[in-house]
Amino acid sequence: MKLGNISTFALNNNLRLQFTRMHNNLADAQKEVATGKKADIGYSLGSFSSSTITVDNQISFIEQTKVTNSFVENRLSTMQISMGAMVDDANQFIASLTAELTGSMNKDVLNLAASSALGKFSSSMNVSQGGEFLFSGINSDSEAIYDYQGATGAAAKAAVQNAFVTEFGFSVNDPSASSITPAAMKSFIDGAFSDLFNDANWDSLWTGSSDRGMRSKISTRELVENPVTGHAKAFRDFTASSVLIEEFADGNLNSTTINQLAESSISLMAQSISGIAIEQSKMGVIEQRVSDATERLDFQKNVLTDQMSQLTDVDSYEAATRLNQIVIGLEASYAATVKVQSLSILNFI
Amino acid sequence: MTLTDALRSATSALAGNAKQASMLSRNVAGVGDPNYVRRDAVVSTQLYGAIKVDIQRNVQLSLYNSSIASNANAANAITVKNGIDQLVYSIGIDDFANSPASMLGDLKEAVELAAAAPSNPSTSSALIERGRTFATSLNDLYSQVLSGRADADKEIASSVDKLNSLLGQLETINEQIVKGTKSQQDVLDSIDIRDGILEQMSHEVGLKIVPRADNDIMVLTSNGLMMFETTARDISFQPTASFGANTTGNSLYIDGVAASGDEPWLPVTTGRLGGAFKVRDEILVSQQNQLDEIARSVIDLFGEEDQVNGVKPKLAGMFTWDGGPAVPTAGVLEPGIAASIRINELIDPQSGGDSALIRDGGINGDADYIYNTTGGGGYSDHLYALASSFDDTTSFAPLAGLPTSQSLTDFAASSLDWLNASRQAAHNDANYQSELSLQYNNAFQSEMGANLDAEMSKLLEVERAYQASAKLLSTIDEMYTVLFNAMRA
Repeated sequence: MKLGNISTFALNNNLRLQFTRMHNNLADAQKEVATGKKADIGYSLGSFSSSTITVDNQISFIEQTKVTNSFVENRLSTMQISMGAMVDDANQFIASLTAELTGSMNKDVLNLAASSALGKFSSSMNVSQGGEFLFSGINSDSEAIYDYQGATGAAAKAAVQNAFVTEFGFSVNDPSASSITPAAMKSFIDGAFSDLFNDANWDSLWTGSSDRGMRSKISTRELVENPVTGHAKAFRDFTASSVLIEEFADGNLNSTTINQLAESSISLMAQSISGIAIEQSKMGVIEQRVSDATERLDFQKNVLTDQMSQLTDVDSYEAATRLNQIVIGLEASYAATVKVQSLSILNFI
Repeated sequence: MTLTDALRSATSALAGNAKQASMLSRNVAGVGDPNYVRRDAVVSTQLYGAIKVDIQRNVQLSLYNSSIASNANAANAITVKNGIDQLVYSIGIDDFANSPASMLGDLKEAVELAAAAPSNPSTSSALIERGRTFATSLNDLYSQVLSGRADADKEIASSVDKLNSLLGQLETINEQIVKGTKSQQDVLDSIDIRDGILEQMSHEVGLKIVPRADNDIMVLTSNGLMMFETTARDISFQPTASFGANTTGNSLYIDGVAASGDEPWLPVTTGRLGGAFKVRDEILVSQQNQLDEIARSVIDLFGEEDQVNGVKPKLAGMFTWDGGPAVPTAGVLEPGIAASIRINELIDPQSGGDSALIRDGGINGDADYIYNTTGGGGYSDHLYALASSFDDTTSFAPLAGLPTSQSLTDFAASSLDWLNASRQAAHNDANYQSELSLQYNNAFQSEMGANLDAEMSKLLEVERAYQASAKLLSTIDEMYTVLFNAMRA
C-alpha cells in the first residue's frame, strides 16, 4: 500500500483555511440571528432582488394612499356637513316664507329671511380646507359662490336688476312697479330671470367653481372624481330662490304679485332641497368607495408585508441552530488544532 | 573481497549518507515554504560495492498544471466579483436604497402625493426635492461606474507591470538553470525559485508552460500568446487616467499581438488580467448603458407634448439634460445623459423657477404645452398621468442588454436584477474557483512538500547508517593497524 505524502505546511495550512471559512460563516449566522434578515439579500435573491423593491414600493404607496384617502374622506364629509346645513337653511327659509304667505306678508321679515339664507348659503358653499374651496371643483383656489351682498357679487346683482328693467321698463322701486301682474311676474321669473342661471351666466356671474370635480386616486387603479361642485342645479335653485326675495320683495310690487314671488321662491327652494339630496347621495356613493378602497388597501398591505418577510427574513430558529453548530464546530477544531500542533517528533528525539 | 573494497564501500556510504543528510536538512528548511518541492534520494549500488546517491525533485506535472490553471481561474473570478461588489455596495447592500429602481419608486410616490393635493405648494416642492435626489443619485452612481472602470483600468496596468517584472526575473533565473544544467550543477533550488515566479504569474493570467531540454521552459498565455521563450516578451498596455461616457480604454498587447479590445486575435480572458478587462469592458459598460437609458427614459417620461395641435416636438419637463430643452430620441442610447440629468431650472424654486408648472405644464414658456387649460388649482390629471406612465411600456436601447420593450419601472427593476444576478453568479464562481484552487494547491503542496516528522525520522535513519559506516571505517582502520603492526614485527 502506498501512503500519500502530507507535507507539514499543508497540514497546518488546512487548519488555518478551515478557521477562515468557519469565521465567515459565523459572521453571517451572527448577523442573521441579530437582525432576523438574510445576511446578504442581494446574493440570496439574485435575479429576484427587485421584488423586494417592488413590494416595498407597493407598501409605501399603500401607506401614502391611506393618508391621501383620509384627506379625501375629510373633504367629502365636510361637504356633506355643509350640504346638510344648506338643507336646514332652505327649510327654515321655506318656513318663514310660508308663515308670511298665510299671514301678514311683512316685507321686512321676507327680506331678513332672504338675506340670512343668502349669507348662510355663501358661507356653506365657500367652506375651505387647507386653502382649497371644496365646492369649487378643480378651480379650488377661487370661491364657489360670489358674495351677492358684497363686492364679488356686484356683477350678479347688477345683472339681476338689469334683467328686471329690461323686462318691465322700470326698476322694482319705481312706483309703476305696482302695476305688474302676478302672471307677468311669473313669466319674468321663468324667462329672463331663469336665464341668469344658465350654464354660461352661472359661470361668469355667480361662481368661480369648475364643473369638473377634483380627481383623486384612492387605490392602485381607482381614480374617483368628486361628483359635487358649485355648478350643480340645486345650488343655482337655492341662489335663485333667495335672490328673488332679496331683490324684489322690498320694492313697490302689489301684494298679489309679492304672493306670486314668494310662491315661486318656495317652489325653487323646494327643488333645491330635493336637488341637494341627490348631490348628497352621489357624494355618499363616493364616500363608500373611498372607505372600501381604504379597507382593501389594509388587506393588501398585510399580504405584501407577509410577502416581504418571505423574501428577506430568515427562520430565526434555523439561524440560531446554525450559529450553535458553527460554534461547536469551531471549538472542536480549536481542540484538534492544539493536539495536532503539539504532535512533533522533535519532542521524542 | 578485499579490505580495500570494504574501505571503498564504507567511504562511499559515508559520502552518500552525508549527501542524504544535506538533502534532508534542505527539506526541513523548506517545510514552511508553500512552493518548495521535496527532494528524494535515489540510492543505487555501483560496481565494486560503491553506493551512489542521486537527489531528485519529482514534480507531478498533472497536479502542477491543475494548480497553475486553478490559480488563474480563481484570480479571474475574484476580480470580477470585487468589481461587481463595489457597484452593489454603492447602491446599498441590504435594501438597495440607492438603486435607481428604489429611487424611481420614491419619485413616483412623490408624484402621486402631489397629484393627491394639487393645490398644496408643499407637495410640489417635495416632488421637486425628490426629483433632485433622484437626479443627483443617478449622477453619483454614474460617476461611480466610470471610476470603477478607471479602477479596473489601473488594475490591468498594475497586473501588466507585475507580469513584466516577473518575466524579467524569469529570464535571469531560467538562463542560470539552463547553463547550470548543461554544466551539470545542482539547479534544483533555482527551479524552486522559477516555480515560485510562475506561481505568481499564474494569478495574473492563465499560463501554458512548455518544458524543453536542459530544464528550459517556454511560457505562453493559456490561449497561446508567447510571453517567454529564452527571453521575456514585451507586454504593453497604455493606462487611461480617467473615464468619460464615451471612453473605451486601451488594448493590451502581448509580444505585439492585440490581446483585448474590439477585434483581438486572441483575447485574454483568464487570470486577474482577464477579470479586469471583463469588469472594464463588459459589466460596467452594461451598467453604464443601463443608467443612461434610465436617465433618458425619465427625461422622456416627464417631457411635455404640444396640447393644441400636437405637432411641436416634445420638450423637457421636470428633468432636463445638457441637450435640453429638446427630449432625447426614444429608444436610442444617449451616452453620458445619466451624468447630465438634473431638475429643470424653470421649475426649481432654488433657481427662481415656478414649482406649480409641474402640475399645469407649459414649463418652457410655450402656452401650447399647457395641460391645465383652465388654470384651476385642484387640477391633478397631468400629475396622475405622469405617475401612471411609470408603468407604461416604452422602448429601450438594446445596448443596455435588457429587454427593450418594457415599462420604466420594470426596466429599473430588471437592471437591479441583472446586477444582483451577475453578483450572485460572480460570488458563486469566485467561491467555487477559489475552493478548487485551494484544493489543487493543497493537494500539490501536500503531495510535493516536506513533512517534518518524515524528514526527521529519515534523518535518524541516516544518522544510524552514518554511525555504522563510521564504525566500519574505524574497524577497518584497526584491522589495517593490526595488519601493518604484524608486518613491522
